[in-house]
Amino acid sequence: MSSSSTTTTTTRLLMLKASDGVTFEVEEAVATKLGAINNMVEEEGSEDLICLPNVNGKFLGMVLEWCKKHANNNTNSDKGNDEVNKWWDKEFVMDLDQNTLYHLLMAADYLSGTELVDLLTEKVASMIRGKKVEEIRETFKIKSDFLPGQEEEIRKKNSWAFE
Amino acid sequence: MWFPKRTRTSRKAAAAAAAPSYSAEIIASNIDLLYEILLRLPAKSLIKFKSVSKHWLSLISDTKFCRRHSSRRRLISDPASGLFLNFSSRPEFEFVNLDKAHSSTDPSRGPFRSLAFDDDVSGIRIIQSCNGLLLCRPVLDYKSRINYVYNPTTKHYAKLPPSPTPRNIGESTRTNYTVLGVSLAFDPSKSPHYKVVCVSDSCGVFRPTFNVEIYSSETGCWTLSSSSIDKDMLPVRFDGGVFWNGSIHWLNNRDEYLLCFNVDEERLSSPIPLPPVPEGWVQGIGHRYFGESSGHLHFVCPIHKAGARSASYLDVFEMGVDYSGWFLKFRVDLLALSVAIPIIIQGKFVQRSNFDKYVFSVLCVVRGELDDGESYIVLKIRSRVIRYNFNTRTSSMLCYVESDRAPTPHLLNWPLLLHPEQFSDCFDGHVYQYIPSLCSV
Repeated sequence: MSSSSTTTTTTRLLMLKASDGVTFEVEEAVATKLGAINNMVEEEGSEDLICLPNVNGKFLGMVLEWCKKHANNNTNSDKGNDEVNKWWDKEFVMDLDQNTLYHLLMAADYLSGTELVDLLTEKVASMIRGKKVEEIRETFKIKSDFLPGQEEEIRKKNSWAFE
Repeated sequence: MWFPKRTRTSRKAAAAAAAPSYSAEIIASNIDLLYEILLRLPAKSLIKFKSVSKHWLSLISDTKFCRRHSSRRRLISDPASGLFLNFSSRPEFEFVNLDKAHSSTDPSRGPFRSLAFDDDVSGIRIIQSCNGLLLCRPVLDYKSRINYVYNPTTKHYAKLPPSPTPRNIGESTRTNYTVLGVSLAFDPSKSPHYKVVCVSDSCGVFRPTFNVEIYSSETGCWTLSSSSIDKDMLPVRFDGGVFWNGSIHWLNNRDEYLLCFNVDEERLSSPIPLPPVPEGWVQGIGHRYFGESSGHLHFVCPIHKAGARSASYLDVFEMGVDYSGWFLKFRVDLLALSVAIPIIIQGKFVQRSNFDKYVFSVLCVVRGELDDGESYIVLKIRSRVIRYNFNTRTSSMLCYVESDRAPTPHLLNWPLLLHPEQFSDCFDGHVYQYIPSLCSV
């Protein structure tokens, strides 16, 4: 598979293949919102099938959905676009459960979708900001490696933050 | 190349491929992502999360991280999360937690009750709060001319060299100085360094202007400013100005105008008048407030229509960008407020004006993190500190503070001028915002 020319056609389609074999056909302008894909297209621009062995279909689909919305909204050079994007981003992350959120974040990071990574890390931060230290350890499966007494000392120093 | 085309894997991809199925665990072990998440947390959460593990402690304590964090947080305008109240009668600070209502049985302890740095046994008082840092001075300081810059969140402080510096001003070391005031200028979104402006007067030497010296935390020294301030400008309170938009703002003693000093350009602008009183209205003298919140400059004053029984309001003005003028941002109907909070009404006292009907002090105006809908005013009404939301017009009780001292005996000789109850209800002291930040001093 190779495109016949490298002229400035904007509707060129790319095939993206997820780890579980699911394929997506997307416009190049949409897919290149992802830094990783943009690099592949620029470096090896002749082929149209891109395999992504580290993302499964479910999350790749979600990432592409986000890219599509942002690509569409950005084509009209309206001032209200920022607002539309913001509103849409809010909707996008609103009902994500923790597991989906973390998988999606890994997918976005792997695909170098900087803006999406920003959005998702912001969401993670808003979810954990009010948590207790023990809950953080539970969520992220972290074991305290402080020596006995060390942790108490740190807590005592910053007791105000625990109120 | 030995690997097949299209399966080029980055470091990240390799990690993801070999990773266990528990996603949150992978995120936490991906330093780049963890760093990005931590950057987006408020300073208070980070201080708490220092005790998660050694790894988190070292990430959060890293100087570069702290610098990036404070410049970032300022960009999205962190509002104050607490207030330090300093009653004139007491050396300790009362703390008001603005984040949540506290019951009287569980008062907030706050970051500190009193301050002591170095060998200063007299105690420390706050002069000004500015974007996460506090400018402080020993309580008893007539000779040393020392100031401190303190970050109450990280508990780090810096002792500034004495000012004024006779060598800078070009006078003999025997000259005496009167320090008229020091003010802090700090905007972490622009620079990690802060500046302190000291306005002083040389005693016994006639000069038409005041000395202006500027300390920079970048160079660590005081330099004499090329700009000077005319003595005609008196009387102005030069201590603890309000920093906004790159400039320090000082209010003159009669609340008529603002003096505005641009710190980087070392330029004094012509005085800015306070909001005018509309025709047919009367402005109150007491209950006023002047301060900054989340990048907005506010002036609050009570107002009522001429006439004995007309309604009274509390007007909150905001300064337009580039000093285009004051505009009315919020208006609080004091009658409606008194329905929600009946104790605001002054009962026994003989009323001389419409405002005497109400007993309260404005402690702070706080602008919401995201939009105006979350903006509120903090009032002290008798011994209660109350937060009143401008848009929803709802109030919530934040905490009780002990009443101020009992009136001094000689004031009791004029019962009509100062009723003991009214006296004890006025807030006699200063308020400083607490904005948690990891910025370094």
